[in-house]
Amino acid sequence: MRPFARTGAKAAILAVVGATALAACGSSPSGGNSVQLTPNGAFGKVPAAAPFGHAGTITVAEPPGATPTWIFPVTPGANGSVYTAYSFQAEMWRYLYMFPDGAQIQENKPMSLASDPVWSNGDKTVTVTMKNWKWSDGQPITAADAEFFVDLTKAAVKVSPADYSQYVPGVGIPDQVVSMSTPNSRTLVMNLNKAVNPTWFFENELAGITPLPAQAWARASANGPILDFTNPANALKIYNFLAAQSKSTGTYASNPLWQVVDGPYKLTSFNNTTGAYTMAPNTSYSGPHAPTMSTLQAVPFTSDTAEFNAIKSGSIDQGYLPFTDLPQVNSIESTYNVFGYPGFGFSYVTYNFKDTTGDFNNIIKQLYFRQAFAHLEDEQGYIKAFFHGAGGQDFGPVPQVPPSPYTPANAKTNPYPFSVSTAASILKAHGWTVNPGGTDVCSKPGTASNECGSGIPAGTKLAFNLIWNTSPAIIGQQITDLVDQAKKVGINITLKSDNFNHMIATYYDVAQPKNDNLWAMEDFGGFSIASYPTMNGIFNSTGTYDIGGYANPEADKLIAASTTSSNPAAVKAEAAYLTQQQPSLFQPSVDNIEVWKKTISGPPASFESLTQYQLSPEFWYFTK
Amino acid sequence: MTNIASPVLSPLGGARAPEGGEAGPIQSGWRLAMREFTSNRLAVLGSAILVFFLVFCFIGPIFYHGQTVNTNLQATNLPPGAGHLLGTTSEGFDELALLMRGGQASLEVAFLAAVFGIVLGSIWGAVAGLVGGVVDSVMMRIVDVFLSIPILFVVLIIAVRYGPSVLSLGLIIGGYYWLVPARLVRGEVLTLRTRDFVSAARIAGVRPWRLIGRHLIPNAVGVMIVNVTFNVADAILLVAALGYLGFGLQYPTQDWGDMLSNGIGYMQDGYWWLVYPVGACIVLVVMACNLIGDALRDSFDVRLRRR
Repeated sequence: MRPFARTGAKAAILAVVGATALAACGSSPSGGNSVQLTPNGAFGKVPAAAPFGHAGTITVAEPPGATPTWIFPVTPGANGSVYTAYSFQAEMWRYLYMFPDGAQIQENKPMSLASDPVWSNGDKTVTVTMKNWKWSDGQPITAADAEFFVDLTKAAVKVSPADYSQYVPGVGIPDQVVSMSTPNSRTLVMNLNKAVNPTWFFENELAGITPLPAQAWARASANGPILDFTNPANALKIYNFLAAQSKSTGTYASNPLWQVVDGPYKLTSFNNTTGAYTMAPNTSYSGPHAPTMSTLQAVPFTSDTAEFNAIKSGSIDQGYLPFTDLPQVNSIESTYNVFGYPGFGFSYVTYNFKDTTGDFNNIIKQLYFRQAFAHLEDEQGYIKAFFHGAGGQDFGPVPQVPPSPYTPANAKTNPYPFSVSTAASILKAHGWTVNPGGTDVCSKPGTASNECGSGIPAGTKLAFNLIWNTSPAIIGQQITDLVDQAKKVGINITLKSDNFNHMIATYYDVAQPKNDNLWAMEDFGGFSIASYPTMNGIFNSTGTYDIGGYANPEADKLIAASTTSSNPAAVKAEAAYLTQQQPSLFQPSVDNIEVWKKTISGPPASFESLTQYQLSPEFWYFTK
Repeated sequence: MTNIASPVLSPLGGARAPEGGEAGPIQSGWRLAMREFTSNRLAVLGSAILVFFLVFCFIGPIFYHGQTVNTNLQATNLPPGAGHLLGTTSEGFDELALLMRGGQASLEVAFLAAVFGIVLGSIWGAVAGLVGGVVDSVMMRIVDVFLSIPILFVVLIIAVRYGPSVLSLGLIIGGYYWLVPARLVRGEVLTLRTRDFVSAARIAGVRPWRLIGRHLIPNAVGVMIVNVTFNVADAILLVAALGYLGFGLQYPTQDWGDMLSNGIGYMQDGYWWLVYPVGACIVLVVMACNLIGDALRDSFDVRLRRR
């Protein structure tokens, strides 16, 4: 569902600490066979590739609000979105390492620009070896081009930390990079300030590097000389020049800078008012692609309704199915293939561990209460009733779908299955007088196992507020059912509707501590997460995006291990612990539902990747 | 084109009617107004519609028991049928029962807002009109200032900040809907205060508040009643707009705007029962209030009476 995806994207941009996907996601359809997806969560299916017919012009839908506003791959937070990154920039400049592979959250090696990194010096030094890809001007893509990107990110964050959307002070690229060297044109050696978890650094940091054409871009003016970008002063001049060029949206298609690409496409026209653009194939593209690549034409829409009407009339080749129109899927299935799958991330109801109103902070600290609350969520019911079957269950920060090697065992089956009676039993067993339809009261204060818990005096009521985002509608539908089920066990929740931007600007303990007592719970959407799904930044007590102030020393320790230890299973252990602890109420993942004409074909993974916001038209062709 | 040959005035010959018109028994202004009102077919239709909806919303639930509070995920978006006469919503609520409950909330907010607005506005206008001078100017400029602020903007901010309920929404909307009545009542008072009975009351030592309560407001009540009906219609639309934007009443309370907002997403999916019935309810009630208001205005204003 597109609006929800946009919400997720905003959240991802909000949470650019190690947990975000923007740094690490990449497209990478590889083979000709369909990836085996977990049936849970998938909607429809992707047909096998048909024989190549011919190339042509493929029209794709551009959702409302997806107009690209930045072309230079060092993207400020204010200009970053999954659409700008993966449907626009990534067509022209490719990531060093491409994630995911179709809808599988793993590297797509044929699409990566470098071989897998090699670690040394106690995981403080990493060596990257470039493949033999070429720029569109015929020059080879060298290790210096990757180094160029890192140097420009250093310059960008000097101008403003907000000028590099993936920047986290002191963590990852560029702050942890002490020095770089290029012993030969294909080898980049990067020295870090301390040992890191190699998997984390590979998937979340190195994968975010976009090699840039230093031979054409390392200049401080349009006709200036090529500068030594390893000199920080020069790098700053170069960054300022390129950023200024990127602000000139009206010249995107005409500026010769942006015509030097390593991706499958070159921009040929761009309307900076509507967002419409066309791209022609890069005939020098070194990566895998269809026998003859088609021209790409992006068609903007001002509403989901308009986009769906275009699909019904058959006027676009590839688009999305707005979630509320899912019941009409039968009307387009004769013309279009339909496939839905959740994006990699999670949706959740955030608990505010600092809200002292009615001792909520002390109530929510109790693990038994969070577990009881989790029992009130009917994920299967939500998927059937509200998602029309197009979604997957999610019980922790690392979702069940799309499948990830880091999904812990306790997140594969619901550890807290829907059961109102179980929730009531848990509350009774911990000293609460349960009043179904009324309001529960703590009748046994104290810290014993059969008492309410520390800081909860006798007479405390289970009554608090929940602020919810009105868009998309499925948030309100899930919340309505949750409140109804809670009422059955005497948990009295007062609802208040709001919108995403106001919520993250207001109900956010880290940024707005003065509002700590204004909210007990909120549901603004969720996060897109990186392929290496550490919750660093989201659920560690010092996290910038620890919105509800969750603080747990054990969680802190496990999260730190995910980024610094050499244990490849560290992030899985972290996810298992957080799934058990329920620092928030994790909600089911809704599908991104994509459609494409039956006259268009290609490797199945190239269509499955659409659900992860990846656009890969270089693989597509007309069958007849 | 006027036919100048046609007689414009009735000749006094023939029937021997007294000069000045037909004589008859003296009737009170209220009775004349009521007679005028009941002779207006649209007014009667509007009244009938409004009474129907009052009965539907407030008495209907006694006879029709549908689920409007407990969700039912096994029965979402069901079409109209035997178990659910108007189908079910996306949460499994009974649409017909929800129309009744939603109508209760919408009408309660609307009437509360209208009454609160008219009381506040009448007092404000009467004081301004009676006192006059600088006080009048200051009070009316305050009205002008408030009128320049878009109400939806104000109500949205307050609703988001404090959370809406029937009482709070009624007071918030009413807190804006006193402006027009204040102007109208002031205008009435400006004409009334020069009348002999007002002068006589003043000479007799009647205090200002008593003058307002016993002499001025009762004589401006026609204007007030007319304004109430229009304010009810406007308030229903405003509540619907708030609900449509997602900032109306919160579950378990729902209003027609919430219902419309929830249903509109399924507009193209053939779930007509989520959109058209509630849309019709809003249109009919607003139309009824406006018909009644128009008729009342004609009834109370002697210049607009047909006879």
